[in-house]
Order: sequence, then C-alpha cells, then structure tokens
Amino acid sequence: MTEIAPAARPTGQVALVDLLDRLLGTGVALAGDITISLAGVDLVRVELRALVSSVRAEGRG
Amino acid sequence: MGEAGRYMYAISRWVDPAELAELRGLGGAEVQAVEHEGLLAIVSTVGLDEFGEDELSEHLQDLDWLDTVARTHHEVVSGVASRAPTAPLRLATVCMDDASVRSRLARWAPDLRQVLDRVAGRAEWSVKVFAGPIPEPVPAAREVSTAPGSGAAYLARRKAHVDRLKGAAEQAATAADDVHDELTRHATAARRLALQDGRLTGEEATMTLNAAYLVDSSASDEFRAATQALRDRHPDERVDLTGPWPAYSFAAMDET
Repeated sequence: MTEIAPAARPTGQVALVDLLDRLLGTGVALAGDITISLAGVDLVRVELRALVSSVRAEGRG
Repeated sequence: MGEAGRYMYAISRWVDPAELAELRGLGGAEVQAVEHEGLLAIVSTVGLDEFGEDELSEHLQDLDWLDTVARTHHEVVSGVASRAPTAPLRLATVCMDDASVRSRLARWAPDLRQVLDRVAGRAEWSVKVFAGPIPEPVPAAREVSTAPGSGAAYLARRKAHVDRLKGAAEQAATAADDVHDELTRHATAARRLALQDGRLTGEEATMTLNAAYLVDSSASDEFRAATQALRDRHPDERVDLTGPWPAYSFAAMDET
C-alpha cells in the first residue's frame, strides 16, 4: 500500500477521506471518559496535511 | 488485555441482540448494547493500552490505524443503522465502564431521542459535483498570421482565455447551487460539507459541491431520479451519488 491510500482504494470501498468527513466532522459528540474531542480532530487534520505533502513529494520525485 | 474501556459506536433504539452478535467491533470484539430507559448505546470492549488518552493521540498520527478504526466504526454503525434508527457517534468515544456509558445516556436522553426521531426511517445520501474540464487556451498557431500586431493579438487572446475561465468557474458554481437547491427540495434536511482537496480524493476535476441529504427511505427512488435529471440538465458537470449512509451528518445534538 502506498502513502496515497485514501484515493487509491479498490472500487466499492469507501474512501478514507469520505469516512473522516463524517466520522470527525459530524455525528453525535458525546464526551466520553477518554476524549480526543477537538484536539483529536486537529491531530487528524495534521495527519491529512502530512499526507498531502507526501503526495506532493512523490510527485516531484 | 490490561485495563479495558467501552468504545461507543452509536446510539439506537431496540436492536435484536442476536443481530448485534453478527457484527464485529474493533479488534474483532463482540458488539453489545448498553441500555438505559429504551436508549441503547452500541459498544464493544477495547484495551486502554490502545484507546487510552495518550495512546489515542499517538495512534491518530498513524494513517493505517486510523483507516482500520474508521472502517470498523463505519461497519458497526451501518450494521445497526440498517436495523433500527441510529445516531452515529463521532470517532473514538470511549468510556471506562457500562455505568459511565449509562450515565451519558441518562444525561443526554432528551437530545438523543430527538436525534433518533429525526433520523428514523431516513437515510443520508452524499452528492458531490465536479466541474467540467477547464477550457484550453486558444492555440498559439494563429499568432504567426497576425505577426505585425502580435502584441495586441496576444492580449486579446489572453483576455478571451481569462474570460472563458471566469465563465467556466461561474457556470460550475451555478450548476453546484442548482444541484443543491433541487436536491434540498427532495430531502428532509440538507447540509453542505467542506469541499475536499483533490490531492486527497485523487480527482483532477475541481469539486464544486460536497453535500449530504437526509431522505425518507420511501423517497430514495425519487431522490435517485432527481439526481439523474440533474445530470441530464448539467451535462458538463459530474454528479456523484453515494448512499444510503447512516445519518452521520444529521445526528448533531445542537440542531433542531
């Protein structure tokens, strides 16, 4: 599997970017005992940004 | 497994425990229901060595981990949503034990019931619109024949190209608005989500609409037909329809 996995899923499988659109941005936000809340969402966005730069880097290489 | 917690996937109403047993949660764990006054929290047991606060922060940096957890969460939510009204929870909501899960059901009961009433008998449909191809600049070959006035010709050509680009962008935005307005008429509720970056979707075409629609199950054929009619009306745009999804985009408790 390459680093550009979200776009490169086999047909029929939901793209990770579509899932995260919904699993992080929407849905019932109940604070659990252990919570990643907004901090977690930020972390994930950092991860997605990192993904974007890795795609760019591959494009240049 | 060391210390354990309860990972919450969704809130629902009555679901046959035998049907829940067909679902597999994170790490292959059994999916169970924790009940409080007719509200069910759909949960499974997770190890805090993986889902503790510090561990979660670390794992969220790991795209493969995130991929697996997001997909498992989605599969459990979808499995429940196909059987009963379901309000999906956000990713990674973990409680220490069943008592803690119940206390949350008790505290938020009126809001949760309101969400379940809103999504009962309905499903979410996702629609994305992609703009048509970007107009090509006028071929430079013509420049040769107008050599004496090539500066002016260049500027004219340049202006024509910029006008075409502007026209294309306006057309794409108008088409996206038209699709959204029309589909909103066929839905109980509608939401525009943030447009996705082409580098993540792998799409070359520009996304002009990323929207979610809450549609009565009895009206899903009508919604599909409306989408097809919009494809015919906007042949330059690509209109992608996926669904039915669990009602992720319509489960927020602060909405009415």
